[in-house]
Amino acid sequence: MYFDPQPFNFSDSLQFWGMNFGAVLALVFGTAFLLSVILNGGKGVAYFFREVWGGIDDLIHISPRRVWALTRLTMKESIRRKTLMVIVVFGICFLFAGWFLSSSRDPSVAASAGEGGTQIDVMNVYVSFVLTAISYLILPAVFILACWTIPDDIKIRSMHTVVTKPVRRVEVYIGRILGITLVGTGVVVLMGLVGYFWLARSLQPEAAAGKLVARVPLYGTFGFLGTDGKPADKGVNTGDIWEYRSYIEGNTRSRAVWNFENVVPRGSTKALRLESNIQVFRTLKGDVGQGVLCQLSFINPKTDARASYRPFPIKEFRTQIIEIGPGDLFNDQNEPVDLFADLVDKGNLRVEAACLSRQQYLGMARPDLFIRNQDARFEAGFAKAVFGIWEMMFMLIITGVTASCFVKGPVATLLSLTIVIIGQAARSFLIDLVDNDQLKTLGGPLESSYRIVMHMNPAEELPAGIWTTITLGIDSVFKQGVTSVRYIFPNFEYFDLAPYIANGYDVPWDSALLPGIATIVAYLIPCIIIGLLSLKLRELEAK
Amino acid sequence: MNRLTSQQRKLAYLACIVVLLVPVIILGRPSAPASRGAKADAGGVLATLRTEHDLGEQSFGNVDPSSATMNLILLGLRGPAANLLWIDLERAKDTKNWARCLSLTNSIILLQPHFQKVWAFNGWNLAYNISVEWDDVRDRYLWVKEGAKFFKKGTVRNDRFTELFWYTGDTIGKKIGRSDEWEYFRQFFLRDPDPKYNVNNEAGPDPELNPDRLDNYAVAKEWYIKAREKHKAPKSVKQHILDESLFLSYPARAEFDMAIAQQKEGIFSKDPWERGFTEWTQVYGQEQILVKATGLERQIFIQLESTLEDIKRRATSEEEQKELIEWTDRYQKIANYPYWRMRALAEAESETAEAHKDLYDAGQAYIAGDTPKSEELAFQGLTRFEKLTERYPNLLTDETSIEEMMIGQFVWRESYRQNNAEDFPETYPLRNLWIEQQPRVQDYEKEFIRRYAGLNR
Repeated sequence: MYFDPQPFNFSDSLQFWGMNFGAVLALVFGTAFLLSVILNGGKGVAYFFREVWGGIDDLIHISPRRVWALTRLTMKESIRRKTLMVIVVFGICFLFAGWFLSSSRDPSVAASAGEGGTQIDVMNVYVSFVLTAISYLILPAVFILACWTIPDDIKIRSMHTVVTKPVRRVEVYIGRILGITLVGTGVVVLMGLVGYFWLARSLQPEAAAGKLVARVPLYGTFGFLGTDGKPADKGVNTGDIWEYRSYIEGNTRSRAVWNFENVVPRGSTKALRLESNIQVFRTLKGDVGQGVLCQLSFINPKTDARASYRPFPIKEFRTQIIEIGPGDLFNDQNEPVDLFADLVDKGNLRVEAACLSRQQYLGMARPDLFIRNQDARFEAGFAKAVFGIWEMMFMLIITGVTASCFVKGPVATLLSLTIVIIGQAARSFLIDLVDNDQLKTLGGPLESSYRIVMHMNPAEELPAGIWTTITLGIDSVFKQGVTSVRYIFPNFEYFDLAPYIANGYDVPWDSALLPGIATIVAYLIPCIIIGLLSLKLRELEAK
Repeated sequence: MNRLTSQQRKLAYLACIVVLLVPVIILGRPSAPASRGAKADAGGVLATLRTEHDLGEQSFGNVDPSSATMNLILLGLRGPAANLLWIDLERAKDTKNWARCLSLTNSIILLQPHFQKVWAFNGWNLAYNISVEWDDVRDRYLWVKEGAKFFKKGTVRNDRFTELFWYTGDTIGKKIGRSDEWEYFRQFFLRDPDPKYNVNNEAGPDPELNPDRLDNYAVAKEWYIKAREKHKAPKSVKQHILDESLFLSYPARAEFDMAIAQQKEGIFSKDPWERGFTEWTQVYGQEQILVKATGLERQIFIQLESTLEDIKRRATSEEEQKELIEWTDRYQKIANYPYWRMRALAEAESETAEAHKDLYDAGQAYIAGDTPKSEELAFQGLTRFEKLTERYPNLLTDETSIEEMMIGQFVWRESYRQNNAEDFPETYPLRNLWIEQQPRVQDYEKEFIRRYAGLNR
């Protein structure tokens, strides 16, 4: 299994969003202006600016009191539509969960002290179950509510009653979103609490063993040294179908290197706690009762002073905790070295791992060695993971309500569902197509159609000629379109925070919470504009 | 119809419901087991037919309510759900997510509890594929156990599947007894490394697999015997793993495997060989094995423990006699019946056990550097083997025995060379064997070096 959270660059993302949003806004308003002028002549200019100013005026003069009234109305509607029934289904799930969840609670067979982790990770299974159950129950319910709330009100003409009052359309829009969000929040909080207490009861053995915590890892940047001791892009591929890890050869100069920043001592003991999850590849059986040995060396990045920790055998698929305290590190002259005094330079530290067993290999990836800072509480991590579900819920509400402002209920549902599917399930496919240049390798739609009809494999060159040029030209427009479209769909993976807490980690602000919140804000702003203008400009008639 | 009032129509519907209830109850009433104060109820017509033709869920084995519930909840989408779980299982195995592998395997079995191949594949996957992904030998053992327990669970859920009983025995027997980690696995089978199985502060076996603290091959034999009984039971699902003549031999083979494993561990007892010989000749050899061949005019049954006189006595005609001789000979070759018969007979002698012990002790003395002792023991052992080969000449064609004798020769020769300045004597035990095996002496030397290199030189 693997868990590799990627850092999020907020400033770059903000800049990118600003550019794209500005470009799309300019394109949309420019097109609207042109159309207005084409259709209405000189008056079109006035119409355009009147509507734009009307929209800006609506935004500036939003009344919180009216918004709250509409929010309360929406909440009553939501409750009337039996949204809260999902709690009953949730309860039933938990009554019978024990029947279906794996009952294998085999504990670690490692007898040596200081090693943590369970072999068969029950916590992962149980926590994933709770968070998945909450998602699967609440998200479809609020999604349907969001997509159908406005169209249904238009159909039964209750919207007409509302808009005859001195209420701005944007207030209706925001009131809907807030109302559904508040109801959904209540349900999520309740389910989260029930889920937490169920987990606390089911994971009592883990809690007793001190494993029900949220670890706070400090990851470093990662690289390799080859067998010649020089930096290398990656290590050896031992033929594993899964190339997540790269391997270093034993008894050579090959090393895995981590560069850490912001290294601070843990607690009052001035110790450094590392956790590793390194893998082994044996080229020969050797002594099966003896583990493959690893040695960690700690280097001052400025002075290159180094000291080593005693070699230890690798225990695969379990977290090995290495506590570096005073007197644990020795240099080449076998003199003791103080980690923080001699090796950590302004919070910077380099750690190298070597394999000491000849003809064996050790495999690692970036997250396979990290510094474990002071643990956070499991409750806090769980709450953040539930917050991730809330973020997803909020995104669905925004998407559904916005879509329902300009199309009917079924179409709004389909449109929103498409956005969710592309943003969640098809995202890796889009990334492969665009970022990994699969389109270039496999060709665009016209080229592919041609190849299929003519039974040509991708390696064959297309026949030279005017039609090939036209085909490739049209395909390049398509490719550009796909590249642009790829950034329109939100990355729903940012809202899936369950893997953090399921794997026993805290949910960090910078790589987990911030991207989700930034995504929400990034989509909320254009959605408000779309919702406001759609409601303002459309006829409130259900045809 | 319109002439009836609303109330009259409702009364008519009620009457129809009551009338229809009668056949529904007669046909569909479920069966009920006997309970306190009540006799067992065979149920309605359908329930009776189900019991009669063994079609009910209970006739497969234990009913698992979670499995039945899961199948109901999926509303007919059991197939697609199972497919998704299988895909997920492969992905979890590729990304080494073992917790998820185990969880998905258990979920698959909830959806497909009566597919034999599902049990067979997943049990093998756990015991063979997933176990080797772990480096620590104790972790590997845990996963081998998971595979064996999985098969065992399968036999409870499907007690008519002969193959699952055999696979359970095979995992406990061969996987534990013959894998690269066999030395550790055999120890762990008796003294599990998991502290939760400790008994009186001493390591104990896993009671789910080994409640009686037996050798792994002894437990495997019990499962092979159950498999054999299932194979012969009238309503069981027949096995298609092996030809019947080989399938039925496994209880006896388990005894032979135990004896060979014990010899490798330095335990030289003739008991397993004696038990194996009895099982081989008195049980397996007496089985009536149906000859499976195309073009036969009639059914032919052979017995492997048959002499020419036995066949002549049984045959009713000369043609039948010819057929019986031919097929008995063929099946004896398939099962290697004469070899194991001879081997078990030879090994069951005290002299043989002592010969093995002498050569083993000679090797241990050689490792310890006590070359005078190793020379004496090796010579003694080879002498005993020479006498054995006179009584059982076929030992000289058995690869395992030849290897043991040749390694013994190397131990003796190296010890002699270190202890004596003179050349080797003209006569020494098994001299002819040594000369005959000269084309392959380098192979035996490599094996000798692999076992003892650097330990004494």
